Amino acid sequence: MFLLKLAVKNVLRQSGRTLLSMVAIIFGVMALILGRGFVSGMKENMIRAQVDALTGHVVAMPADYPTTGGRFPIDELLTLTEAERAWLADRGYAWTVRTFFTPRVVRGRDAMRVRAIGFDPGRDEQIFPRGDWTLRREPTNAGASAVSDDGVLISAGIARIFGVGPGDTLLFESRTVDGALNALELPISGVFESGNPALDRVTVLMPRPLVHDLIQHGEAFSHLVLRLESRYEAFAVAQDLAEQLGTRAKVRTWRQESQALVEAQEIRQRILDVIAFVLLAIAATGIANTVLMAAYERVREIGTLRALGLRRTGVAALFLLEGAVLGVVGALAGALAGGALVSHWAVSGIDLSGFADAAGAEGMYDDLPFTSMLYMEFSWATILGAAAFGLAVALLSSIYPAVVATRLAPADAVRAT
Amino acid sequence: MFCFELKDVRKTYGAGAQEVHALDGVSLGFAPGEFTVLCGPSGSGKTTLLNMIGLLDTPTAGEVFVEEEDVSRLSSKRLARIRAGRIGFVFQAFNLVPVLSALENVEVSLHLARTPGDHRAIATEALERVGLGKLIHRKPGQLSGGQQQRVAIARALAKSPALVIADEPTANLDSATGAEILAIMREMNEEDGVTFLFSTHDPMVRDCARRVVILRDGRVAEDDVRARRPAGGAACSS
Repeated sequence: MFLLKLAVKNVLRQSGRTLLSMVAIIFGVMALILGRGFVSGMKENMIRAQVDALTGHVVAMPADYPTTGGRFPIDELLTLTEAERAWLADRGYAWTVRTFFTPRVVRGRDAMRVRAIGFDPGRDEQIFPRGDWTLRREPTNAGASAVSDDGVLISAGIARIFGVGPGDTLLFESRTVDGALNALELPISGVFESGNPALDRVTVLMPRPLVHDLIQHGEAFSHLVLRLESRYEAFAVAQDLAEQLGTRAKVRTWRQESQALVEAQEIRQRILDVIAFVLLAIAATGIANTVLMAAYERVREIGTLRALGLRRTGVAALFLLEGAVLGVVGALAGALAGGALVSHWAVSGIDLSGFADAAGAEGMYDDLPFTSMLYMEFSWATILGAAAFGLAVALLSSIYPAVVATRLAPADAVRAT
Repeated sequence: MFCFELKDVRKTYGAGAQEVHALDGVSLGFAPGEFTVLCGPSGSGKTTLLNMIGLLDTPTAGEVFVEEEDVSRLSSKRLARIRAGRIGFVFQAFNLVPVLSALENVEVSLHLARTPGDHRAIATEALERVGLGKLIHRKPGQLSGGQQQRVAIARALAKSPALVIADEPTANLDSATGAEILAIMREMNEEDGVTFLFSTHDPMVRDCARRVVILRDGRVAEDDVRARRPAGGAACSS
């Protein structure tokens, strides 16, 4: 107790120096907590964006359908039998079908290939919520649903590129499922901004009847998408669905669909961890310097305490305690500040719409789904872990100064000037 | 019977041509209640001798006895334990812990000595005895040199040691303050029988001593046991 009291008083002795060392720990611990909270939140955000915009919780597609890249073939599509529809109805799953294809869009002398998603106007919004979307429509249709079948919905990116808006038309050229060339001039019923760059860049949402007019696919589709009560049921449901659909389809869960995203986030996580470690290494150097300077400045004091009967272990304990005091206060303050910020941003979110707009305009992250509001992930484990790490860094960095202090010969130290 | 004794103690620093004999076969004993002054020119071995008796250093050869126990080869841990319980130190530069109050400085010593009883009460009493009863909560920086040395004396004496080693205790004080400090120690020697060993160049301290040991070139040149000299003056009056 006496050593702790002395350690606290010693730490407070050079308040400016102590504060600087402590700030380094605080920032290091905060960086760990915020970095992890941000990346976990971003991971969750991307998974949700992917689920809400493209994959749902379980998705079935033709057996040989590509799962990566921007190819959306229509030569082999799926259809549902009556038995399969009955099975889906019996299970009570919310489901819809979509057809992805890549028509060429032409207006005047401009043309580009886009990703078109054929959707079922009666079912799609149950699976893919659009409550947060911004939708520009013609004034007469301003109150209409986002999933009407009177024209196509184009992303804000396409509207910008072609300089078109609601009420204009675009020419869509595509091969039919039989390989014939077809073209259709379709009206634009609305321009959407979902806040998700994966949709907002070059996506056209086309009601199924119009898709059929263009590619002649009948009842066929490229994706059967299910939305579940809980995404954690996805694995079991996917197994059941795969059994129902047989070998003609492959069934994937949201987790498999977002694997690449999760891995990318884990890389980001590691990068942020490295940054936090570097910050804490700087903090460690600061603490080692603080405690070492304290040791050198207090040689006579250490000698006096040794003369009074303090053992080498007591001297070591005193310096380790000084590091621990710095570490505990710094780690606690860092954990409190970091935890408070993460907790705030976990509830109120961070508005990424500016970033999403920029990403959309620059063509960055075309295939990267995320929503414009990022909610950080609050985790006690992360906060406690970061605090413990900060404390450990402080303790470890006090070891060398403690060793230096214990090696002082009391006979010399006691008369040091 | 001696409470502290050195037998043919040698201390050598360096090796070969650089070898220096700081102590060269010193044998001395200190009986309980003695008030001894160690004199000698700079480099005569006074500090080394104090380090040996204070168990801050170990001899190259010879034996050091504390209350008839040979402590020359004891571990650092055991030496620390004996220092804590049996030896008090008063240094030229006072050597107080600056972040602790006068009271806490004395309490530290009691804590390390594992002195039984209420440390706060014992420390307060010790500080009152040296005339600092009203300044016990002041930090060293808020005290004068003389007051700091009084705290150091209280710290040395509070644990009732067998020996108090005072290394030039008046060197950093003006003569009036030095005389006061000396008077306090003299009083404690006479009233409580505390054994004191001084190292000093100060003639006032030397005049107060009942025994004067003169060192020269690491050897005892003179060991003069005598009664207090009348010339000691006010500083020696208790």
